[in-house]
Amino acid sequence: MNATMLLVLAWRNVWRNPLRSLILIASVVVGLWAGLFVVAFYQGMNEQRLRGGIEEVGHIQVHARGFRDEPRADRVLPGGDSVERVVRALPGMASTARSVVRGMLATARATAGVEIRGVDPAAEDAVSGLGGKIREGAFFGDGFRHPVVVGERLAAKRGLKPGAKLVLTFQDSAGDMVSGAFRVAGLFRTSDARFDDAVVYVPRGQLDALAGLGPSSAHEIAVRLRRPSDLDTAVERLRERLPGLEVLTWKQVSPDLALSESSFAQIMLVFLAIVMLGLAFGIVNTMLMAVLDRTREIGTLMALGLRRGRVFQMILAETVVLVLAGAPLGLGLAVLSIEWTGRRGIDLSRIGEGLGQFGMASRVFPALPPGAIGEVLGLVAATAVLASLLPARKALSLHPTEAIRST
Amino acid sequence: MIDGVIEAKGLTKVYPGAVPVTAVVGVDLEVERGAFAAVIGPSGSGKTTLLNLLGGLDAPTSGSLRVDGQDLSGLSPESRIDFRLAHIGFVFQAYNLVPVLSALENVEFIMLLQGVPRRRRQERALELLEAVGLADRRRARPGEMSGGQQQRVAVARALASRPGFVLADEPTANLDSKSAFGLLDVMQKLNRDEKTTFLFSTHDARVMERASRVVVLEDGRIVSDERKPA
Amino acid sequence: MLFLLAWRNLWRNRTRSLVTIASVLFAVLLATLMNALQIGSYDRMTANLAGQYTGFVQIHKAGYWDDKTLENAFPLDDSVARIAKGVPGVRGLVPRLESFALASNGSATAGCQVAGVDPTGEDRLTALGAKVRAGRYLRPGDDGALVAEGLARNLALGVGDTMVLLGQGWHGATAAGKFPVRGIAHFGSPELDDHLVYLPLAAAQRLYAADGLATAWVVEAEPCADFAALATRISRGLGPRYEAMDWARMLPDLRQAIAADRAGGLVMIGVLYLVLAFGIFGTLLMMVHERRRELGVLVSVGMRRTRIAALLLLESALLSGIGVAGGMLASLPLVWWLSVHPMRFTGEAAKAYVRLGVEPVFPTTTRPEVLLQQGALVWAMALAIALVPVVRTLRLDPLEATRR
Repeated sequence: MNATMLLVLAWRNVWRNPLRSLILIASVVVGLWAGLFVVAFYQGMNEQRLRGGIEEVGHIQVHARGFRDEPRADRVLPGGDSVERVVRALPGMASTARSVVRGMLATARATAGVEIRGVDPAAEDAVSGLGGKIREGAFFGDGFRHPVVVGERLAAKRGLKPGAKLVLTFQDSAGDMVSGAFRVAGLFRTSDARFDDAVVYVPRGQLDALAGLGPSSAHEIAVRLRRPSDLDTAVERLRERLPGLEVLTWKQVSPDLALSESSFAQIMLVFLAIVMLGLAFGIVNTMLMAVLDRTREIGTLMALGLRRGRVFQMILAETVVLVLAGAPLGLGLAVLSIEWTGRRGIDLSRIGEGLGQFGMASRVFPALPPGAIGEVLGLVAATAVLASLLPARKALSLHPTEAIRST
Repeated sequence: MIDGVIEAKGLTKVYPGAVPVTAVVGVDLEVERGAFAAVIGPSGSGKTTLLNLLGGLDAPTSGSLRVDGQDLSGLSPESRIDFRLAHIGFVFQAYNLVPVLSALENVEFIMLLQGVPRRRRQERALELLEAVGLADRRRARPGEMSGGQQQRVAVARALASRPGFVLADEPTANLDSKSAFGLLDVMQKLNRDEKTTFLFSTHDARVMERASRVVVLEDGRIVSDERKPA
Repeated sequence: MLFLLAWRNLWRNRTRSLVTIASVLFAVLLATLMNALQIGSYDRMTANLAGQYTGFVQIHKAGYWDDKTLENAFPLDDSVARIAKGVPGVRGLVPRLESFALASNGSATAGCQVAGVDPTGEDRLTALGAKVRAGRYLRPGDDGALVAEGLARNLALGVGDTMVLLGQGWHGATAAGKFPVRGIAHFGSPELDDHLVYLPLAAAQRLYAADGLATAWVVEAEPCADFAALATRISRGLGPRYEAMDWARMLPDLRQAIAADRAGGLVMIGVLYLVLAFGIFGTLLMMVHERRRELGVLVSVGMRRTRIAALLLLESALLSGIGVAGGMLASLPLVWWLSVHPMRFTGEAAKAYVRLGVEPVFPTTTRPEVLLQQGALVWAMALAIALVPVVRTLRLDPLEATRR
């Protein structure tokens, strides 16, 4: 018996009980659609969180060796702005040079530990988009001689508004404690609440002067790539041109960002596997009942000369046909809905203010992770085959003598 | 060609269990080619078991069985299936046909299993349907046919592989008189024209009337074996 | 009588009934599995972040949490402790004096969070002693400090080195002091690793000129599902000057992260339920459909359709009930096994987790409520689904049903 006959038989047998088959097919459609949509939704959220995180960190960071281990003010990048110039010379990247010290922020009421970043507004904006994240006031601007930009949350906690005075204290390049008075010129909000609490920005020249560093000094250069996929090649090129300096990717600078990316894929796999299992039981159920309904018929076929291998193939074919009947529709619906919402985005702020408040962007753009469709199809096919095993076993356990039932 | 002979010697079947059931004991039976024979007996007489044994659907506990010159006792269950496909045709009381296949496809089915090429398959199937008078219903599905028509298609199918003999288990039990007679006519015709052996299991007097040999079974043993004059 | 009939009917067609029971059983099993995994991960998030440092419930002066200055410290006396320990669910209290300071090794400085603690109590609370990687843990009369790994590295401090702490003390006094590093501890999360300095409480009080003061009592609580309720109970007993907060109020970021995860988790389990519902629906529908003839006979004979509907509903309830019970029983070994041998992350993810000091596994919770909740939900769902074919029976036409 050839494959065509098997498929013809399978197809016709599926439609013997249209209601039962349709219910199962519907479950395959819904399972695939919902499953894929949820995966795409989470992927969208993840991508966003990643993007936001990378914005603060930069795709690549360059420091003098030993700076990250012991961030002393005198550990500047060598040669004034020569490193900056090397980086600028390379295509496909925007860079900002930062002076970074750890110190204290003191207001009339209290002190807090902060990271003080000395930056040039235009360059900084090009890398981290900070200009666009200023919610109140300006990114330095002309209003104050010694402007500082702080996070909204930090300002709220310390009771700071634009125009308020604060003092920044830190250890300079000689090891002495220095302070400077600054006025709040603007408030920013990024997607990372912890970042907002802990980082303030001042003009680089002023920080350098306070710290006793030469002009155009910097501790850190953060790079934003035009094409994020170029990460590895870009890092290599920078390492070539900047031997003796530490060139790190965002994954190395911020391991918990990297974590969410890789753990996500595995979490989704477990989720999908469980949903497939649920689907499998529905399939086993339906096919088992189909076999039980046909004990006489199968017995007859065995009596006539259908070998056991063929009986198994019959059941397998039927199961596969049933499952695959729903697959195209389920996949199609999933892809369409993901495309549609992927372009327009899903507005979360209505659903939960908690989400909107908590650094999570309020619009999510679902996107299927690469290879997801193939993975899911593979899972579905495997499910169909595995699910056919039990009913097939039941069919094989029947005996041709079932066919002869003299009353 | 095919000898068309069933040679059973000392066939015994005991079903194991807490209380073993002896269904058939020491049955000796020889059926020659072209026979139109009936096996009769009350329920519990072992009729069903005997037919299962003769048809190779079950293996005896002891005794020997040769069909078409082949010793069945040496065969594995899978080989018995292949043997049935080539050498034995079946017509059961009911549920003979595959419900999702048309009459023609049902007759073709056996030949499909044997790998007969398409053209020859379809020709033979059509030929057989004509022989049972149902060529015009070849595209109908079993659900669309009467009981008698279904049984006739089953007969056509049973002959598709030119078997040594056809085993018919109560084929007329569910039929009204007209259909029963029609079916018997067809079977007798095929028996005469193709010299195919028919072995019936039956209660039906109408069948017994037409049989040329009647074997009576009681408590698992043959108690009478009569040949009727032609 | 109806019950007896229903029960007998179940076993008339053993295989059919078993198939239905199996589908409900596996539904419960899968739902429980997914939920146990989800709650396991929330619990772990909480335990990691809250349990490591903040604790699950804290008592402080009203308003301290919004304005964490020493001005909001309170005298360490028995009054609060007595009341709090009387609240059921409170095992004990551990005092803390926390403030900010600049730590220096002489050449480099870094901001740090100073926690003046009672070493024994703190160890009970957060297993601080187990986190020591070099040197030794603090002793009650100690004069030295326990420094977090990241901070020690930043300042190139080793065991035995002297660390200078500078800050703002109580009522504006300058806080300055030298402390030998007695031990270095590893926390796993950069937040804690880069900033924490533990001092014995007395030493911290001396540093900040805050003798006899504390900024918080950390509550040692019995493990419980609702710390917010515990915090409220404690607050009530304390009066307006003090307040007790649970981790969710102290770490709103964590709370929101979990809430966001929970919402997503609901969607995921919703998808699972949807798929399971189809499976159960198919089974129940077919079961009733196949018995149309028999039911038609019953109607012809004189049984009212409402009675028949009740009978079918009862049968479905029994079948799904058995399935649910079976599913819950089957979940027990599965969940137990997973909590002892959890699924592991592989590759990049595993490495990243380990770096953060978290075990790279999918945690599972063994809380019994999960089992019971999922079992109840699936049963409710099965009953709701059963209504569909049952309602159709109400319109059963006996003649049509007994026809072919």
